[in-house]
Amino acid sequence: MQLPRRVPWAAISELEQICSWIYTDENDLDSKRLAINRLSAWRAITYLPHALESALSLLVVIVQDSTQAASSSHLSLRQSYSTAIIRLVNGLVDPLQLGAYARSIASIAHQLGLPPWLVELRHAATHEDMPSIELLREAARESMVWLLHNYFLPTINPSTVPETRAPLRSLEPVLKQYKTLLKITTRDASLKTQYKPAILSVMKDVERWIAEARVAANMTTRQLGWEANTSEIPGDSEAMDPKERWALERLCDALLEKGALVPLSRKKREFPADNFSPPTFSVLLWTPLLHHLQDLHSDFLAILSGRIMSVLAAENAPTDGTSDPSYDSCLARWALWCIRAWEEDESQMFDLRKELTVTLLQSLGHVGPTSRGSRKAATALLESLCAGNPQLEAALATLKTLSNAGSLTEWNPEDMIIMDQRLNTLLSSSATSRSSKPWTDSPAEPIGAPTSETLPGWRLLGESSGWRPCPIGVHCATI
Amino acid sequence: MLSAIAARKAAQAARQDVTNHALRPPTPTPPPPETTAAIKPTPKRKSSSQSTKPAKRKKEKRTPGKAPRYFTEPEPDTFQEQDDVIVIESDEEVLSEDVETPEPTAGRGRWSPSVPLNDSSDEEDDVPFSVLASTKSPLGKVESPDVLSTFLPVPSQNTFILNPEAVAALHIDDDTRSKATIVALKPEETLCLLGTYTFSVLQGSITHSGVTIPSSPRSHRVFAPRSSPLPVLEGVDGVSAISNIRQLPEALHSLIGSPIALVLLQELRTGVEGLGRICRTFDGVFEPSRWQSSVASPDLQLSGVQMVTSQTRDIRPFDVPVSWARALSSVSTAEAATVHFVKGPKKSGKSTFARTLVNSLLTRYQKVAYLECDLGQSEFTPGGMVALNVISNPLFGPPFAHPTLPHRAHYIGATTPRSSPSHYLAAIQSALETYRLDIQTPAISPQDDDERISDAIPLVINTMGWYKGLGADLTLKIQDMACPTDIYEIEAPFDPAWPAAPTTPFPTPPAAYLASESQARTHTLQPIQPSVLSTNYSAADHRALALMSYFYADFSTSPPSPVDELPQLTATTWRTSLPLVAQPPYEVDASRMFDNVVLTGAGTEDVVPTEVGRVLNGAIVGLVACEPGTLDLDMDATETASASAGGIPYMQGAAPPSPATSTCHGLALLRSVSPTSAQVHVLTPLPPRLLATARVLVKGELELPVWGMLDFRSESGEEVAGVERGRVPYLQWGKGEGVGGERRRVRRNLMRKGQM
Repeated sequence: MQLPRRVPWAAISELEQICSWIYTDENDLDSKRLAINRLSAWRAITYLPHALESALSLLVVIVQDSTQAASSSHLSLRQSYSTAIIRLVNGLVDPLQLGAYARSIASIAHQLGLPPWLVELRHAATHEDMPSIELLREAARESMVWLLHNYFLPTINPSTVPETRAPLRSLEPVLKQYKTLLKITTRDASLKTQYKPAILSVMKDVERWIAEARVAANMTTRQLGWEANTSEIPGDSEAMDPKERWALERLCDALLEKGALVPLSRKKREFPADNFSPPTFSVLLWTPLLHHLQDLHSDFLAILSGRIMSVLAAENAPTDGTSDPSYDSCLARWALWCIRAWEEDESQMFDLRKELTVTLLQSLGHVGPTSRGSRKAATALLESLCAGNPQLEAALATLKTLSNAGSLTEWNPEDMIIMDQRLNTLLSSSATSRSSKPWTDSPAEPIGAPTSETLPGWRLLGESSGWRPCPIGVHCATI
Repeated sequence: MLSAIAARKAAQAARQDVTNHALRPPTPTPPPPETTAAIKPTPKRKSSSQSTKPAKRKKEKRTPGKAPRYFTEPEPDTFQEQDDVIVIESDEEVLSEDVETPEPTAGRGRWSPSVPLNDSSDEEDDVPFSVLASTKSPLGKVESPDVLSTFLPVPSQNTFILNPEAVAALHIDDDTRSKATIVALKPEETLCLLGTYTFSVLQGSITHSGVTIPSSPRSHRVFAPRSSPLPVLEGVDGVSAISNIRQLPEALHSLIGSPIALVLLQELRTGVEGLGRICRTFDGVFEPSRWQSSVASPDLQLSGVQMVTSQTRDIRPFDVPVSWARALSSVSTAEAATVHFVKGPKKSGKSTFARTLVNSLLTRYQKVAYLECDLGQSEFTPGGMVALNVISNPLFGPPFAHPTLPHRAHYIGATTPRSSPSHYLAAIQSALETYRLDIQTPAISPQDDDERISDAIPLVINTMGWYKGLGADLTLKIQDMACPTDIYEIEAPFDPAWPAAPTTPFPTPPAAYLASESQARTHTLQPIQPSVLSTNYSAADHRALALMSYFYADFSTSPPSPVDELPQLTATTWRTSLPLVAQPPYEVDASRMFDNVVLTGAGTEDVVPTEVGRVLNGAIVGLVACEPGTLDLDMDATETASASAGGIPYMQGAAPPSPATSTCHGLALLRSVSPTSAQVHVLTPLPPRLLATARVLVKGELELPVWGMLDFRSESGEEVAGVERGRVPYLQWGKGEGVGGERRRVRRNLMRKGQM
């Protein structure tokens, strides 16, 4: 169930009214006071969105500045302006510090489209000499304009403002650099210490990229809101921060490009014959990064294997001759590698193998001999997934015979029994499934207030007085 | 239900904490930073309803009829290593639906001015260090589940079903005539029950929730949801018996006189389960979870109660640490009224200990007074008030299961005293005076067969968990005012960011402080271990549930008996068939029935009279009664102000009524305020006799949880009282566009470059 959140306005038109009070005429102080009064009242109702709280503090200073007698202290005005601007910038930037490590305020502000000099002003007002009144007035004006374009207008008229954000930078150069470094250290272990700082810094760069991507996700998935769960990753997708998921998915996409996890040259895609593993050298190369990512993002491997699945099971596999079977089988081997790494990690309580098997089975439809390359890889993966797990093996065997014996036969009553048997085989591979209990109503209870006592001045309403159930905050007229 | 991801993350955090890297191939992986455990955002969102979830997860074929999943519906084995789960809580004032709350951590290396200093008043915001330090159990090992019930029911041997007539013959203090089950518990035999039930000890004594309960005709109500530690009944001996023990059926006579405790269990129907339907985080907490339903459990022939044989992943038994038991057994045994002061950090078990202490004192005293100073998670009232209660029945259940009308209370209106510390102290001072004058030494009303002390009422004081900075000062001041005879201090985990509080808070301690210190006996207690329960349910969830429980509670069924001067007015039933939006309210003319409307909380001074109706619409207010003549109102000014406030008697910037001369009866929800007149529609569970005197409204920072604004009758949550969801006022589904459209959030765990 999707939960709403409380907002101070009954309808968005109330926000629109405040917006027009503030912005219609810059010199109309009376309507600005109306806006201040309304926003102060809203603040007492519930938490205000940060943009509104900032607008309130800025408005209060602006109005104070415009009406103040010349004799009074300018220092207090400068302080009020400074506080309003510091809090505006901090409040906008802080929620976007999404990674483990602090990003510079300037870089986040850049992504937000916040004027860089406001960030400088924030720094000056906090740590340096208090800025001049002239500069602060200009900053307040510019902040109000920024709020109009970035909060009020998009909130009042959703999706009218074109996306003008800085695009997400490509991860490819970073991965390339990582590969180069690791090749050096893998080939000559004595260089490990020498290159350690460089490798660390690349890994930090990947982390930084994830943080940036999360901010970008903030922008791009806005319309998805709370339900940004369109991806095909198995598991309890509800529980994960959609922004982190989005960022990690983009990261995985970059890793799945040819030249990353899968070597560019087909010659290098030599698979170990004895087990279903990716090329040995690739494993040596990428294991450190993958482990590092898994350490910081506990769902990384699940997401990576999920992305691989979706590539393998893609319906629109290229038919124009560009299909690359060794690429597919390399990916399939990486998927199994992910699952093995996941299972090595004993703290993971989630059966990724089973989950992915189910996903794969569903996307393959049925297990039969297939022609397409990606299907072949997927089928191979499916077999190695189930190998060693008796339950899954049994399930797979059942399904396999089904799709092999495809021809239509006459309906026999015994078929029912066979179907039952098959069903039981499949069911036994899962743990006890829970039958959801229907909601049972609590024992009947009297409806309406319990009392016969009457209280002067307190009239208990009911149907007879014209009262009807209505949402909280709606006043129902009574007789 | 705990999401799989949450458990995984927590478990992984645990793994990293012990830096178990042996499983890895030796690679140049940089060691994960030490604080990794804390940087995982804890997914705050829980599945709000278990029933809707599986449908969402996977499109699978279903077989008609039995409806198990066709293929494996792999339920992630969430709690396999439950013992190893590190609980990382984040309790900002955010309900579970807020997804992206970054995990705050206890700070280290906070040097940049752009990172806020750990404001000590954010008592709910940081992770206690003990969480990381104390859970270093070996990992990867799956322990066999702990056995919770060694009792194995065998009909006609140790389990007997009684018909209503046989129950009536025993003359138990329970007016419900329903069938009962008698269980015979041998010494040290345990029985763990989930659900709601009442029990009476017919013969011998048992321990329940850490308290030894001797045989008596009293029956005790127990609420044991999965969201709290489950109490375990344990047989002690068979020494005493109730006077009517011979009325038991013949089959039981062989057990009479044997060293076996006989416990009568009965069904308890209160409607409390309905709260789970309202506050979906707690959906089905009185029923066994999926983990338990997979384990067959013996049937006790009582509905609403389920025997729990062994520990499963999402429950925790009620466990009394050794130091607690020691402290409880060494409580001052003076005949006089003793004052017990419980303090310690949040989530260390203060409230649980205080409740256990009350129960333990109730075995020696007829009544015990309880002063709640924890505004965030109050025992008897919804949060936001300092409340003094007088308790005569032991409390077996979490706070939401016993909402009680206070003897005296003062509405602070916030979950911490951060914005009004002096008002908070004045409120406690007033409550303490009330205790000393009215309660400590009650008029003796001897009850015939009660051997417990009746001429003195001890006091238990529970304090807030804010034990640093200003919070520590406040707690010391309260201790100073209370002059306790016993101090129970739950050890605070070591936090390098906050050096140990100076042992003498004042350069020259006042005489009273010295005196109280010299008299008081101090008991040091271990904190309880954080459990899976605190991962599943945050403090904000519990607060929301307590508030919902209060508004749905029915206090009218417990009218005060005329002989009892200090009655315990606990709600015994909940009316949960209708959501709040559909419950008929009272209509009140605010200009006539209320003398004053006060707004408290930072920033409320700026609310002008013309806007006050808007602020009150949908607000939760404290209903305060002032002693006649003490409300100092400037009549002329009030009239002018209320004229512009549409008749609502509001004075901008007025202070809340003085605690010395007022008391808060309870809370009300102003479900709507008329835009054109001073008519307000009010929902309150308070009985009418209390409403007449409540002529002052105080609105604080407390808000109605979003659960209270929804309509659970609409299955999909698409409608509220017939209004489709896009048109429901004051609620917004989905996230708005625009930058800065969210609440400000604070992170305290950012790492700087070079910390990697």
